[in-house]
Amino acid sequence: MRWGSAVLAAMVAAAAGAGGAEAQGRPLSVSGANQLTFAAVFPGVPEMVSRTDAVNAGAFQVRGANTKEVLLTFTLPAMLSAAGGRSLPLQFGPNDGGWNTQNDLATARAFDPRVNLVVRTSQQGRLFLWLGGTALPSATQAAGAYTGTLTLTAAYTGN
Amino acid sequence: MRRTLGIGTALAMAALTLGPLVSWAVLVAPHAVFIDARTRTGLVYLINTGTSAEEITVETRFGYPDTDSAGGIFVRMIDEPPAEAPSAAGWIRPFPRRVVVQPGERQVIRLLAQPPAGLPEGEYWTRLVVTSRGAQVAVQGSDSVVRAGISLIVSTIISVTYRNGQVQTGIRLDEFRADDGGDSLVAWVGLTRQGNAAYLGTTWIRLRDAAGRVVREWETPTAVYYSLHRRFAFPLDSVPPGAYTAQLEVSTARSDLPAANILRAAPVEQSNPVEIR
Repeated sequence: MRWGSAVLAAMVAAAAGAGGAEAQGRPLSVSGANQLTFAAVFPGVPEMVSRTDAVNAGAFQVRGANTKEVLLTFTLPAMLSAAGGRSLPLQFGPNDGGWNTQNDLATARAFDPRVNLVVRTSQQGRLFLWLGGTALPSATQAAGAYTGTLTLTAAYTGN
Repeated sequence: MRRTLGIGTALAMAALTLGPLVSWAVLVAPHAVFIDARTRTGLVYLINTGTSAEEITVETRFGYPDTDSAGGIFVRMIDEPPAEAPSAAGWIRPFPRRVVVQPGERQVIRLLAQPPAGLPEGEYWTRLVVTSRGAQVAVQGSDSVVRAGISLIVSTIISVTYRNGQVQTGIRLDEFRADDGGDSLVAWVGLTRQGNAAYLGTTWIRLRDAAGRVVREWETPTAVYYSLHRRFAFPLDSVPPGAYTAQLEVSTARSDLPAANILRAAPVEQSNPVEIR
């Protein structure tokens, strides 16, 4: 069954609880908007993507209740893996995360994606996150298809 | 074929990518579930607002908000809680636990509580961890090219509370201090829950000038399951230098939870002078 936006909004409101007219907390949702991309990787040469790189940085958006405190946790891969046990190490530093209540990369504030981030959503219930990082290919890095998993965990702090 | 790349072929290692493709996560509602001993059931809705199917798993884990030594808040998850812990993670079960939700569709998750016989009065807690996996990133490789992709996993954590018999809550203020932290008002608030149920309320910190006018006010939904020792940092923006009073109020007022599920308790207040430089 497909839901139009109005139906969806009504259904979300109804799903939020049995409180009737009482205001209910808007549920959280998190989305990925852009891949963190290492455009060119040279064997033996670390390749850094800045969180301010509008093209290559990872981008995420959080939607929730207006001006509410949200706990966000990245679980970052230490490496990507390929067939045959090959791996490509990754590194994330204290300034590789950026957050903003506006969708404005230039004015985003830095955070360390390796630790919890506790921030408030905007007046419209939005948060925007960006993620950079560094790939550390070895001098003998093999070609292939490397994969990994990035987990973003979200929760309100007040429950 | 495994092949080692030399510097000369480095450019072939292009387009190493990781991270999510555009993939809206599943929306989980409500963000707090309350179950009583009479009905022993609860409902959670999963709604896929995205454009691709989401594979979703639902699990219960014991956990609660806690603070670290720096005053930061986090959700403490305990996989094997001690016997005395008020954990409902072992006997509140979600159905189904695994589901694929197509774009634009919703799925109802039923929570069934099967508490042990003779469960003492009180409140029992678990977190519901809803994990969604979007479509896998297609990764294509060749002999001379490195390509990589990473799947985005999004976990949304909500609280589930089971109330058995008479429950009551309260709060004890252990500490309140506030200071000028430069560009922000830094406040430390220590709270310990009373009674046999979690304290779900709101913390207000107001900055009043010498005339008693509120020049800034900050509001934070607050849940105290055992105790919290939080550090808040609120932007002072254009607050002029001078002598102020930082006023703390913690009460069970909550606008985001059904009133029927709020356990009322007496508010606590304290005011301290603070100099903004």
